[in-house]
Amino acid sequence: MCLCHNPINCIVPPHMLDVMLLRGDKSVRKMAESLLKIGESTREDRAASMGSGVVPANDGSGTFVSHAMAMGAPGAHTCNREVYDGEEKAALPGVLVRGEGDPPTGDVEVDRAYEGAGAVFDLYSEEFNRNSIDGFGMTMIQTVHHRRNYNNAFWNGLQMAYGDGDGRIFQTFTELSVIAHEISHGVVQHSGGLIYQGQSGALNESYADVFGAMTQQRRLGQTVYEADWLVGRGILGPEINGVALRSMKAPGTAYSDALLGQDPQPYHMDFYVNTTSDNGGVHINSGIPNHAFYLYCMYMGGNAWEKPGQIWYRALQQINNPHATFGDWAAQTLDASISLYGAGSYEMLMLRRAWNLVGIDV
Amino acid sequence: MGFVTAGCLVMMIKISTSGGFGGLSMAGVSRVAMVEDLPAAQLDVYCKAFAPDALQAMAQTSPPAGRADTVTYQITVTDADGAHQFELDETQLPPDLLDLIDALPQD
Ligand SMILES: [Zn+2]
Repeated sequence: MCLCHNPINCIVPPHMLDVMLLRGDKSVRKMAESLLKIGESTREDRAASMGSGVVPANDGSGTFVSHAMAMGAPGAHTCNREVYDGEEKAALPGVLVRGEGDPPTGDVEVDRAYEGAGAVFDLYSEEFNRNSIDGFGMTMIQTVHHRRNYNNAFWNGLQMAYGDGDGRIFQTFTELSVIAHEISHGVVQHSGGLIYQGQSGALNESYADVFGAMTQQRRLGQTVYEADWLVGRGILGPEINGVALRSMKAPGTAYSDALLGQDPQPYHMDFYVNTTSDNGGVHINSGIPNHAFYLYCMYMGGNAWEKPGQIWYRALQQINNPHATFGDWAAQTLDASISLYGAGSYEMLMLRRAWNLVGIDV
Repeated sequence: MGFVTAGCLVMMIKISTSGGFGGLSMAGVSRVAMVEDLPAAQLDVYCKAFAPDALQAMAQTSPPAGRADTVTYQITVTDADGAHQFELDETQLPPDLLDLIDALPQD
């Protein structure tokens, strides 16, 4: 027998409360928080997720889309970058060393982060009509030299942070595909979010890799056939036997090293890795949707940010399901291909084939 | 097992990590420190920072909903009551504590 005073607390399971916390409007988030008995620090999280909710679509279809898409064509987009020096400490953001319009500092990490964020901003603005991370011109805050010998880069809900690596396993994280990957996690958050666990977490990872590779290709002026489809090329230490951290063209082949072992990414659902570590293998199983995107690009030709990128971006804006599985995501991309290019179009049929080739029926 | 240092009940701190941008366990940290071996000037700082009650309070907080690629810390603190295990996202750990972890020698 349910004895709660609040009937919602009796009905709504915890995973739904997670969704409400992530995607609801202010009052819903407040209610979900109280139900989940979340502590003090969540006030900051809520501030971070402001603007990440979804709204009804303008077309009266009864669906929901992200704020950024519902806004339609915005006015002039403004790029605002701030790069901070973490001075090998953990406190964020650190000391501001380069703001928007400032000249290069001479610190290669600072300047790469600044230039890289500009390339990501341009991709989203010029190809997807999105004004920065949140669609509303959010300042892109980046901290380099984060902590000592830190082998990582992350998005913390508010900003990007990059370690320098320990020089042995990693030697840098300010490589363009990595910068674009981290900023794209922010785009995911401000597009309704994909819960960072299991398949939805792997989709979050895959979206970040897709837009990381896309940013790199656009910067280099590469077609899908010219690109290397590597994520994190050159960031591994000089003694590591590997070319990058991940390969979208051939998941599982980016490195093979005595210290790191073999790149564990699968390219097909038959090899899906069930694990509890790494939030349920979010950096492992992302190889499957990564490879589907690559295969689709091979069918389409041209540039990744054209038809494939438009479909992936639209799917993210419209999916309205933070717990999406690979099958849900594939279906959403198919819907996006139909709305953009028509039912039964070559674009739609080849997309279905790409998903089938990685073991996902749609 | 070492002696209980005056004013400090923590005897051993063991830290390992998983997750992060690469998802590579080998890229993480693995640290074990006997509190009695730490520099005397740092003893009190580490004792307070790694007190089970303090870590428990951190574990009660929620990491930011949209975060990605952050590192998960597995921290085991052993005191007279036995081993206390915590799993914490790095966004749940205060910067001062992360700096203390970075200052410990690699296992
Ligand atoms: Zn990521």
